[in-house]
Amino acid sequence: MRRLRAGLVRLTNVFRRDRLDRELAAEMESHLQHHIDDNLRAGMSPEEARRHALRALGGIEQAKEQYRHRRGLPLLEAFLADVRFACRMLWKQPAFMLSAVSMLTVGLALTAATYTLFNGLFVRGWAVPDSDQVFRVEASRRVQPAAGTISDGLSLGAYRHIRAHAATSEYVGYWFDNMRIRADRTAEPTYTQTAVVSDNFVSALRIPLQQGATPPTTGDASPAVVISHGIWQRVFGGDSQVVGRVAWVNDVAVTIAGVMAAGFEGLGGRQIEVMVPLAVVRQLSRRPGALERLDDERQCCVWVAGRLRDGRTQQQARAELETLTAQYRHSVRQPELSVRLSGTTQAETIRDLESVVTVLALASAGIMLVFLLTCTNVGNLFLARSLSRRGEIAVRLSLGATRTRIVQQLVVEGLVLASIAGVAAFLATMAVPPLFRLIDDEEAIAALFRADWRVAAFTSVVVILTCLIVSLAPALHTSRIAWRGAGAGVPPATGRLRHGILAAQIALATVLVLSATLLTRGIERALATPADFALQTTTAAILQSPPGRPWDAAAARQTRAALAAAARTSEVPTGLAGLSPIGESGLSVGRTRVREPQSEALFEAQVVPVAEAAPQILGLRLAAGRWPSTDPAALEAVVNRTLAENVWGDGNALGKQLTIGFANDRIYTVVGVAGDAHLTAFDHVAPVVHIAPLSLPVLVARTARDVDAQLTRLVASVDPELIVTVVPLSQPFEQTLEQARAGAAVAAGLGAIAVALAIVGVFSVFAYLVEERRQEIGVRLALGASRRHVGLAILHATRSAVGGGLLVGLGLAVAAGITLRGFLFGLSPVDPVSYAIAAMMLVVSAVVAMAVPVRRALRVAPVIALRAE
Amino acid sequence: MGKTDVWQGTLALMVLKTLEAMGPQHGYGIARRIEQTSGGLLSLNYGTLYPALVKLEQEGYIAGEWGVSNNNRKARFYKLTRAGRRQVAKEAEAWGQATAILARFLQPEEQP
Repeated sequence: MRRLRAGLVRLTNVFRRDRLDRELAAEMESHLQHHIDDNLRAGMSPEEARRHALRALGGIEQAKEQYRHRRGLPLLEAFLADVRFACRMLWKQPAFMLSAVSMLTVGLALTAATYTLFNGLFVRGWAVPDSDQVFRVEASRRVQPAAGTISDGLSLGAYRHIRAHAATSEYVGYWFDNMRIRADRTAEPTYTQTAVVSDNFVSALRIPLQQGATPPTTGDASPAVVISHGIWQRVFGGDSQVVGRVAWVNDVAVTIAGVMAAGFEGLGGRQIEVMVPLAVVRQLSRRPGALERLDDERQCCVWVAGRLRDGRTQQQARAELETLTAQYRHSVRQPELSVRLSGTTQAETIRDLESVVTVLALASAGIMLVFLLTCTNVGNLFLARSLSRRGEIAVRLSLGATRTRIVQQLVVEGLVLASIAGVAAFLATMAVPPLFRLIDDEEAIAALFRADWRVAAFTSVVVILTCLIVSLAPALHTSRIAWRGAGAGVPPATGRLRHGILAAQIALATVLVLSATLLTRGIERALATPADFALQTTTAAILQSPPGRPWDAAAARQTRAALAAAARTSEVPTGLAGLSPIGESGLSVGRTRVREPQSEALFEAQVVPVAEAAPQILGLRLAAGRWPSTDPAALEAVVNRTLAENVWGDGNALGKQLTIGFANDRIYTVVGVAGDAHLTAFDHVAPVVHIAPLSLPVLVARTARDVDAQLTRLVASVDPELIVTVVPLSQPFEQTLEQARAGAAVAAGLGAIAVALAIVGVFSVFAYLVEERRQEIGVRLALGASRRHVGLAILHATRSAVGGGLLVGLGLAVAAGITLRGFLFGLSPVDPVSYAIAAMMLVVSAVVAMAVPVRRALRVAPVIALRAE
Repeated sequence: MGKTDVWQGTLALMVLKTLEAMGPQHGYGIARRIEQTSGGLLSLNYGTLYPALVKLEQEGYIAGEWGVSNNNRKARFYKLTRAGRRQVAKEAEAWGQATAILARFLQPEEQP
């Protein structure tokens, strides 16, 4: 305790040095005067009295030094002195500081951004209090041909059963929807990400509310909803009286029951702007699927999460969940249902985690290389700079400074630089989420990139590492030279370290440039591949039921039949299909699973509904059999060749039976086998099952001049109130292409940064090399050597570094190419064109980086160069 | 017999004991008092007294305050805190035990 107190006092004393120094001087003076007074009284002369007093004190300065040593924390004080000195030194060389800091900032910001993403995906759970007590429950199903399982939610019945009987945890259920909200009946609607939640959602998850309370559970009162802080600001203008106010959700009057706290944005990357209680969703939802779910206990899916009750463990919850699931499975005869507990990080919700991990790992590897490149560059700058200070260092060593002290001083300079860059990098990372919101309102991505204390801690660790990488080797090197050669005029032998740095730079740049070229070319190639169905020549009319009209299964069936009849008699060949809403990629209405009625094996598939002229308009080919009937009740299906081979091995599917999704009682008969086409993605053929459209269909027709008007007319003749959006079919695909383009852009960006860094690095190595040999160049030129000759001699000196770096870089690039194979879309990892392009870029960069300093040196008149010494 | 240097670790106790006996004192006064108490047998380098004082102050055993001395000079006076008083008692007892034990070793063995 006493020691801790003393330590704290010493720590505060470090920052009160000036005052304490003044007090110490006064105390010493007082001590001397008292002693002198005594001596005078004892009969000494004034001079003798003073001399005697000073001797007894052991010298004023020595006494003060002993006192200071004890007063503060000498190590910390030395460190702070070093920091001050480093700041002064760096301030004197703004060009060096700016170039080093900007390069380090690039490297650190990329590294920090990568960690932010990793943190957002794998580390950070839901933003609720005690999130370690919260878990998600997923139904996991083994799906073929993928080796693993896929996870999704539970049926409403399963959720209700678990919630009613669980003792270890409190369970909540929820799903996501989109709903329109307006502050009053005439206002423009705002489309929101809505969560339909169970009555205990807010209280069990402890979602922070800034005002109001959980919506009442009874369904008969006017529906009550909770809104997010953002909606409160945007739609209600931050109205302080908002709780209790009436608003309109999907044109139904609701009461605002509460407002979520400002920091709470949603769960696991899914934004929640409005929370609607499950009990009132029937009044608000206009999405047929959501209601079917409420009617059919076995429909999938409601997401389920739980919070452990006090004193309970995850093991207990898991055991209980297994029992409850087994009970439920038994009661409803749903054999494939098995559930698992999972965490609340975003990674747990990603279906295709493996590919995300691969992409992230590859991006991290690339960024790591860029980071190393910045470090070698700055290390090189450091070396050049500390060598130019070897005179100063030699003087300090001869004045008695230890080598450790000199190294410490130089490393602290590195730390100051790295810290400035670290702060800049962290600020840059914090700017990423607003940037995403600005570009595309991409809330999910913005949330993923949110920087928190973990990112700050990670950046600090990387700053320290960076400091050691960039400054330790040069500092050790310089202090050794200065120590050996102090005052003796021994020329520095720095060749090996500098050549090492040069070789590393060239190797890293080679790997990065080659990988970026390969990736860019691979993606371009994939984008240039023409679609194998009528993607570019089809126009789609997407239909929505009018606002306020309640969903009615019978009416929907009637509309669908009327649309089919109209399409059949239309002048323009028109088909019915099921397309995903605009903005989602591909043709499919959803990934689902199929299986043979008597089998336990599940197979992954995409449902692409087609009817009437749709197969012909979409250019789909039939390998055997016929297309399904327009009537969904006929339960006819067509599988593509890939799915047929997955399920039945030999691909002979005609006449076989299967069930789709969870509707185990609806057994489809396969009436045809379709040819494979890239319907859902441009880089692979997915297993596809075609059936008749079930919900409100999408009309498709061949693109022509008047097709928009014709499709609109056709819909109006069936139901004038339906809302029609006519778009080219290629539009929903654009997003998939955009993702690929973004991937190529990231790779190209990293490659460009690498080239720029390599140019700066090679340039600085050569500039220093030439500067160092200025005198020699002058002598050679004076003796009559040709400029070309001297220039070649300088290049010659670095041949082993350049050659070695290139060789290592090429070897690594081949390895990188092989690792990247999955992202090259069939491009060879040793694609000669890519190698030629990369080689050209590297050669041009190298020429630029080397030629400028060498030419500059050669232009110097020999006399001036000689006079310089 | 020549003068002895102050033994390691004993200066702090001497300072505390001096303050306990004399009440608030400035640095020079403490140093003189230690020399007097030792009967002139200890040679104290006055410069080493101040680090000892700052250590005791940091540990909270003594507290310093500026005042005016009998010579009418400004001086920093140190006084014992309550924790300091407890520490004097504790350390004095520990020293008493240590010296008693050592004394047994140094005395000629008693014959049975």
